Amino acid sequence: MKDVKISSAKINPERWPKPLQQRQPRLAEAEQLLALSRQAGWNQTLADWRLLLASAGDNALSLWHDERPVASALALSYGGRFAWICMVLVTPDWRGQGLATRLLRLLVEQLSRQGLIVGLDATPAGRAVYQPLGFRDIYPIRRLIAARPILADAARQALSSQHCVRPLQATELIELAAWDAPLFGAERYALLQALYARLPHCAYIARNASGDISGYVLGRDGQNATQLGPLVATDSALASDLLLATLTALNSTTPSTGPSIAQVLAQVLNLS
Amino acid sequence: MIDVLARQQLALLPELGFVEQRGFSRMLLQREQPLDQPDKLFAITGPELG
Repeated sequence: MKDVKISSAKINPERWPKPLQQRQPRLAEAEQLLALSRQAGWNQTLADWRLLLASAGDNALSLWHDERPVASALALSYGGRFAWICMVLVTPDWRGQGLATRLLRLLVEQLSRQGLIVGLDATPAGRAVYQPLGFRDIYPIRRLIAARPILADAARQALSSQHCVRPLQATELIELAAWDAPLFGAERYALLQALYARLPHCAYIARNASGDISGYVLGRDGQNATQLGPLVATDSALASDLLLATLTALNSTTPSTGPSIAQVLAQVLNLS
Repeated sequence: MIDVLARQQLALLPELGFVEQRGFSRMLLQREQPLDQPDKLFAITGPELG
């Protein structure tokens, strides 16, 4: 662990008499780091932090003050090709003092030395920080949320594609990772395996008439909501079918006051 | 909750009651071409996982 002096006139030495300590966070500190994302209202769970810390290894940085984490920045490496920066967080009482930018610059330098392409998904506020560092927009992403998806009408549109959609089996993960790699841009078997373990009943795979993989969807539990994704498919009709399959499974495992989606589907498909 | 590529038209999502909460921008350092195939990627894993 090394003490660092942050060059900022905004840091009041009377309020913060102890120095900040910069170091790689340990896996055992996941629970303390969870407080950072909780304070920001983010969706990560303790399991997410453990996964992130275990995956990031040396590419995890944090700043601590008085035995408490006040800032973090991590990067996950995929296939030795690129690294994904994430969890750039600063606790509210330490914001506006350049801590995130400091960790980000250090991490980018570290990743560049490793020869990795560097990427991230930025919030509008974060984008303003990343652009001056040389980050360029690739495409926009929309976060959609539903308190409880309304599945009754949608169920009638189920199975609109000509693919076989069924629950993903653990034995298919190696084949799935190989299919996914060129679409994602790198191999990510370990991540897919970890996600599958988190919410296996929400994992679905699609195969075409020849038996070849044509799509899949995974999900995971979150602090605020269940996160669906990745959702990868050869066309939008299949993506919709996969989405419906996973939402149906999710719905059947959560309390409901109305008919379950399983009941609705059974009616639609004349199974009852 | 689902993070979808804005270019993908999944009409099913609003029908299911999904509404937009916020937006993200996928960004790469000193690069303008995507690493993935956005025509087949409908939802990402999450901003923290790529």
